[in-house]
Amino acid sequence: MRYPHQNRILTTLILPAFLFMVVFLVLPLLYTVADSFLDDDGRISIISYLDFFLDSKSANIYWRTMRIAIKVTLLAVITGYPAAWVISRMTPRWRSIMMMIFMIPLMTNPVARTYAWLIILGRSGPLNRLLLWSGLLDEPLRLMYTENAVVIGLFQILLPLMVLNLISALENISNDVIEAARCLGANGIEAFVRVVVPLSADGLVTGGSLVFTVCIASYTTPHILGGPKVLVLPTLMRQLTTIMNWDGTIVVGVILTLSALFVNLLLRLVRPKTD
Amino acid sequence: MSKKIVVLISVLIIAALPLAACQPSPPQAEEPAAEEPVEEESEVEEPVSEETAILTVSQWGYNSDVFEEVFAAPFMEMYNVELVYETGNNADRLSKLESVGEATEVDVIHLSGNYALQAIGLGLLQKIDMSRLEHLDELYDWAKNPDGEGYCVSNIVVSYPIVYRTDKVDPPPTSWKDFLREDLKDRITMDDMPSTFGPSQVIMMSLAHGGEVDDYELGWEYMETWVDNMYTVAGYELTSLIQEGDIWMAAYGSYMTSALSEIDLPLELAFIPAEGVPGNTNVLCMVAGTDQEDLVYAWMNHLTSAETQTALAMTLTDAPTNKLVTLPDEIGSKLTYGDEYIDSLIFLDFAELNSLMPDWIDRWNDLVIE
Repeated sequence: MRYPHQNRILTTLILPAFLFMVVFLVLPLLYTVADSFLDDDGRISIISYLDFFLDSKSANIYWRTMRIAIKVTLLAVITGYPAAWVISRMTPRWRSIMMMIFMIPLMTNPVARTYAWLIILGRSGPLNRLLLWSGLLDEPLRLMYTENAVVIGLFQILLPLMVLNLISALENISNDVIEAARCLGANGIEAFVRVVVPLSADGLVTGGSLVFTVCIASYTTPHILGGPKVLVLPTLMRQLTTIMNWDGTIVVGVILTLSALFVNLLLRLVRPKTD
Repeated sequence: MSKKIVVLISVLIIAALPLAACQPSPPQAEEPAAEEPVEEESEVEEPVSEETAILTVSQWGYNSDVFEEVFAAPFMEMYNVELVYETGNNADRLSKLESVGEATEVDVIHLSGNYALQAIGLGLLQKIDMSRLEHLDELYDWAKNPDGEGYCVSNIVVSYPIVYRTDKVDPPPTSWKDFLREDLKDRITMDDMPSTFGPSQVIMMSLAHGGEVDDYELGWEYMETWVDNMYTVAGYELTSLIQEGDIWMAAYGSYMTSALSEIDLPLELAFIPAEGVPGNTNVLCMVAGTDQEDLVYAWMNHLTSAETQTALAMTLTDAPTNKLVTLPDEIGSKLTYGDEYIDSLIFLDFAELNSLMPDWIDRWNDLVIE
């Protein structure tokens, strides 16, 4: 039971942060979104958004952005989950060491990190040289300035977000719970699917949301590794700001925001539930 | 607070991340518009003293060590003034100036010539009294009043020459047409259209095929072949691409001279093709409503003096607009400098090009996007 004065204390504690977020984020966000639905005469209109999606070029850019984000998120889940599981079962000392290692990409400058890929994936880079030397290729592969180069670059940067979120979720799952499932007749896969995954769903959803959202909002990596041939929404926004087309920029920004919001809610909706 | 509200707030915060990219300050490592290199987010430096006057300078923020050493330190010493910077690329700083309006603290703004025209159109600048510019007579004519209306003066000239590998490009280039050569396929780059020298590629294609500067359609006819031939569009990463051996020939913004000259490969820098080289000016403009007019003129005089411009040129960072500057051959040959080079410059009509850009970016995207 909570007493009224406790509620007042809790409200007082949360109020400054809450007000800050509302005044400096939520309200401007709502204003920007609302403004983008008004035409020059102040009437409600969705013409800017229709124009965007009816134009095959910008629609392609949109779907490419989403495709890249989905690929990166799936890759992060597939590779991050086993790694997070192993780390979560380690001793606290080793767990913190491994978490520190996974955090290294987050501590390095994104520009420097992305430039390294420019060299590694380049036509004369170490990867192509290795493939040529091994005899697997007769001539260098074109790796740079492709969608795959962007996926690789973003995957490297965003994998830690997924792993760290999953570790937080997985380390709270007691081995006893899994043992109990096994005792009740579940095999290893069943125990994983019906017990571990649902119990770590929050980490999965939070990690997935973060990876997807940061991915669709990333500029540096798509710009350097993809170039204008692999234009995505943030690099399109940059083009628009260069010619000071702020209306177009806001439309793209709102589309990105609504897409992130939609995926976020979708992930929460379809998250595996515990029985 | 119920769990639902907490979830809703966290969802909103996550969702707001992409929209943050709408804000004028760009993410890191943007594609620089010609003289705009990779830069940090805009910031206003803090040092403020009540005794000393303060001059707020809006500038790109690149080569900050050179800026401090050549521009700022001597100026602060001479005038006992505190310099406060606002940094960012042209478009961002311009939009900030526009949105802040008269409340801006910026006194003087450094811009590319093409963006200065936009600033004038938006009413953000005030005319300068040319008689107060001590070095006006020493400047090239095109640097004295680059906007044509008396709002700005130019302290830096930038150009778009060619760099090529002398051991790889055989025969050596002679014309902008050489970018269409089959033997150089995937060994050349282009500049992005929304950059200062992006549109000049269309014009140079026109000139290379017998057209005039404003025969834009003729230029566009050959852009597709150039795009097909290129490895990628490159800004500052051109240095890495040449260093790694991926690129043999490229047109480059002259502000990259210093970085390119450090590459340990047989490179011919600052090559001028038969048709000439596109040029542009970086200008200094007084912000409308400044209360530091005297200091702004002092800043303009400092930056247009032969002494300051010589010091700047010796760093291979930028080229002078003051005719009295004399440079040793090993420096001058790499910069937009010398009679032959200056005579070859083709100053573009950015007033017209600015209005064409939305359409040209559209056409460019049609050609480039895979």
